[in-house]
Amino acid sequence: MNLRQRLLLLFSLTVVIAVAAVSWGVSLRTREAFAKSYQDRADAFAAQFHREFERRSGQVADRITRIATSDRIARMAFDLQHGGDTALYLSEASALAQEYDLEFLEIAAADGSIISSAQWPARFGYKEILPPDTDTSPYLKREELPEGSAVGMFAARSTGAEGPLRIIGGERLDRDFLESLPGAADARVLLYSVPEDGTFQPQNLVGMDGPAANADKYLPLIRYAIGSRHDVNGIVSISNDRKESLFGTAIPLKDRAGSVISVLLVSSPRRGLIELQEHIRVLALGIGGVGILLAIAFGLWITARITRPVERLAEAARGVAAGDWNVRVDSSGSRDEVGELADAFNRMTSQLLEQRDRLVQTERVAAWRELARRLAHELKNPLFPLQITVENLVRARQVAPEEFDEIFRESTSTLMAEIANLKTIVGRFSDFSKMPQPQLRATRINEVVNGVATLHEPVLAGREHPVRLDLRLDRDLPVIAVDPELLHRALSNLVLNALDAMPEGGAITITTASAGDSVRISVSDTGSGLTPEECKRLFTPYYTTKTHGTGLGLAIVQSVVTDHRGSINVESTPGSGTTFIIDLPKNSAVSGVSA
Amino acid sequence: MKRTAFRLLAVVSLAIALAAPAWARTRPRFGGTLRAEMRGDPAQWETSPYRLLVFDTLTEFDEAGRVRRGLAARWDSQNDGRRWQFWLNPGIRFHDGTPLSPATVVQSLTSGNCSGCPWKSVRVLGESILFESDVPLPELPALLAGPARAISRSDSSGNQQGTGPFRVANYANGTMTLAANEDSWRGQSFVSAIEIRGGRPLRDQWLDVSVGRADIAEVPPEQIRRAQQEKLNLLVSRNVDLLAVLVSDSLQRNSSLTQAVALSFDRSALYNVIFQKQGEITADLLPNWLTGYAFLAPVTQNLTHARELRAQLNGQSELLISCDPGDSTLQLAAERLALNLRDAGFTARVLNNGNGGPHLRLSRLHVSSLDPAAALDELAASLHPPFSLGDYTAASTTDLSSLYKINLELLDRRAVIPLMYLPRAIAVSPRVRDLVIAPDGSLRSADFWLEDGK
Repeated sequence: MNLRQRLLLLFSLTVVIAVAAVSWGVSLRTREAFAKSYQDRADAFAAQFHREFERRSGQVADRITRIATSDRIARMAFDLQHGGDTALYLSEASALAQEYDLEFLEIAAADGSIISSAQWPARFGYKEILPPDTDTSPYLKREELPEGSAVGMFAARSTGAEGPLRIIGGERLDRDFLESLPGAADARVLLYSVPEDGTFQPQNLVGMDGPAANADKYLPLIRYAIGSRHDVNGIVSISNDRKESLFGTAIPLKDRAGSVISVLLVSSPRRGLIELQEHIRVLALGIGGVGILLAIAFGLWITARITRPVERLAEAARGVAAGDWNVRVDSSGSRDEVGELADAFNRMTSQLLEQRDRLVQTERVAAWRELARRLAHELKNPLFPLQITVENLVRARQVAPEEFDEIFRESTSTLMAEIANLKTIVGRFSDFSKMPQPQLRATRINEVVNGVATLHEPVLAGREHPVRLDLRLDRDLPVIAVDPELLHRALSNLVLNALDAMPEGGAITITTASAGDSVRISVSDTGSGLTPEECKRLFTPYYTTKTHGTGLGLAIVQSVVTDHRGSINVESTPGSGTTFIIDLPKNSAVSGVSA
Repeated sequence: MKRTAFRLLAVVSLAIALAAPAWARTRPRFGGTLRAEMRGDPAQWETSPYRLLVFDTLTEFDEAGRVRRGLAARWDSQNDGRRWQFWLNPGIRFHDGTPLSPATVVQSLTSGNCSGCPWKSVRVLGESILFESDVPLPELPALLAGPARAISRSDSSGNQQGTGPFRVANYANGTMTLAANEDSWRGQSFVSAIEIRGGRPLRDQWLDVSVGRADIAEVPPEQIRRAQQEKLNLLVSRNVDLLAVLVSDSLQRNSSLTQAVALSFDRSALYNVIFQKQGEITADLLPNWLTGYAFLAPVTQNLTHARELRAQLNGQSELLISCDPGDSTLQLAAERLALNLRDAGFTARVLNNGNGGPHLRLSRLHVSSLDPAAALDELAASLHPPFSLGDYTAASTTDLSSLYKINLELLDRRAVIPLMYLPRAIAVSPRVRDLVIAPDGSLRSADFWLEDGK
């Protein structure tokens, strides 16, 4: 991933994160605002409920008081105190409950034995747990009924010492009670009667329209309210659709002992909140999408501004790496860090050029010195015999004229030989200076190698210490474009070089193989090998490790290989021989010659 | 002397003058309309106390409870009580003039559902009606005295015609008018008509009787005490309605369960409170006044034993109790029984609609016969599965000790748990004279009359 892509990604991520953060923040604030609104409404409802509860229980208490002080109860109390039969008053509570519009009413003896019950007439004789005489405050109670239990608000009164009867009555907390409660239009009010065994009974959850649908969905909230014994809020999920969920408040209703006997549930739909959140999400996605597009456009522009000089620098660096040290980076109009970097790059290339020129000059001087040294050395060898021969002729003329002719003949032949030697040396130097450009043509490398072997094999075998020549040729080598004469010359040089490295005999191995896009020719010997220093300087013109030779053989080989856009390397270990490796590129343009 | 004679004459005259109205009050008067009120529909003859004023039975009970002649002038049995022949009184006609004949009697006895009939067949044999049975039926004459065996015939309009002292003159707007049948074979009744007004609440009936707007009002047994407190003139029958719990077939198979259920019931609460100390507590099928041995059956609640038995039962589901949904007193009693069952460890609930396959059904079973064997037969026939006394020998039902054994065996089947026997009662206005309520709570005699004759 390049710098431009990274910058683009960075810009896009920045925009997305920013939009997501803003959306999340807005959504969170919205949810909190709605939750607060719901909570405020729930609190208001709870307060209204408690006020209504107080009002209704006050009415119940008032009615119970009126019943307890009525003449009818007074007569009943008097009769019972004077031996009257309680059985005669079996239906008294029902009549009084109807008269005073009460759903629950029981008349009990002082010990709590029920004399008459409106809600469960058959319970006469059973004991009722009564609050103390002094406790006249209304209270909630779970009332057992034939069909189950019901929760009601109760009040109890005593008829006094004259006829100690207890009147216990109340109203049921049911659908009618729910309907009488004030509430918001969209609020739903439910009432759950907690069974005595504590199990969850879905049918016990009723609303104004009867048993509540999806009652089990309210179970967690109800259980939490029962467990905590104080008002709790929560989300009620009716279905997988979040829009169907409700914000619920559960108000536990407790009896005199503090046990939760009923739970009032107020729920408001969360559809408005969910729709608003979805709207915000869609808006955020839209803004995010547009932002990403803008970020890409802006990123492209800004990264272009940033990366264009960098790319120019990189291109210039690649040019330097390729050998073009004259490359320059335009730093005009950019006065920032990139401009400074371009100036530094330009200074660097200028200094490199200067140093290269100096180095070339130095190398050129060194080469000339080496050439002079070699030339002096090469010329010195034939010159010394020439000098000795001429001095012998002069001395023979002076000392022994009779032998002069004989000496003259011998000397002239020596002089001719040395002069020929000098011509040979001069010819070599001349040849090196006149290295021809390769004439490429489709060539089978193995044929060139075989030609070299054929040329040198007799010489190698006829030496005092014979040298064996081994060929390991790849029969599937492709035909490539080379100059066969130049390649023959290069390989011959390598063979002769190897021969010089094995005065005591040995073996030369020539190997051909296909190596990727190249054809590889290896020439190995089993000679004394080379040191790393020798390997490093081996292809330097006029450098030689031998006592004879011009030092141009391997330079010519390198020149031939380089002219074929190939490469040559040497691998050598002292004492183990040397291997020259030539890689020549396969020329796909060659055609018309089969392998 | 003159003075003395004069004084004597004055005293005699005064005595005659004082005695004359009293004599006049006891002398029956013809004419007038008896006004009766009831909660139900007067046309529902099966439950009407006035049924035997319109329809007659082949036999009747006298005041001593002995079987006497009714429509049948005589009867005879053969083959150890397996074959009975009844001969009719001559000259009896239905209200529409149709003569009573053995054929019409057979038609009447076979027209309705006769699943509880003890005989195998009934047919005309010459001038007689022949009953045949596979088992001895010594109590057949007593059985035929019951209101359920009253003889009637349908006229061309579908109306039921009887042979009794009153005939149906009109029925409209829930009020039935019975006119005196001047050609009755029993002789003419004193009152000219009886007007039965149906659909009247109990309190309205009592008020009407109190202010003289009605002559007869219903008084349920649980209201007898209150009616007495309100100084109503009451006629109370014998204890003829058995309040009992009928046990379903499935429960009958579990004797421990039915025993636990029976032991859990508190009859005293029913007697003392719900039925206001009327009737009698019983654990027997027949009332004590009829058999004399009903007191032998234990009637006390034993919750401890009931709980022990309940604890031995595994997996008994909720017991469902039902009763007549229109009978609020029975509803209350059923609720009380459910409470008793809960105290014994059962889960029990009363079905409000009276339907739905209950395990226990609280019912009132009416005993109309004054003959113990016939009464037991009558009750047994109403049980499920029906129980026939014919399974026993004829001799066994003729003496009380044998009947007691049958009675015990019936109870051992746990098909029924008797709770109470209750009387029937009516409130009568002071102007009605010589009105007699039969031991079974019905009005059988038409010898009543109205004091003012209006």
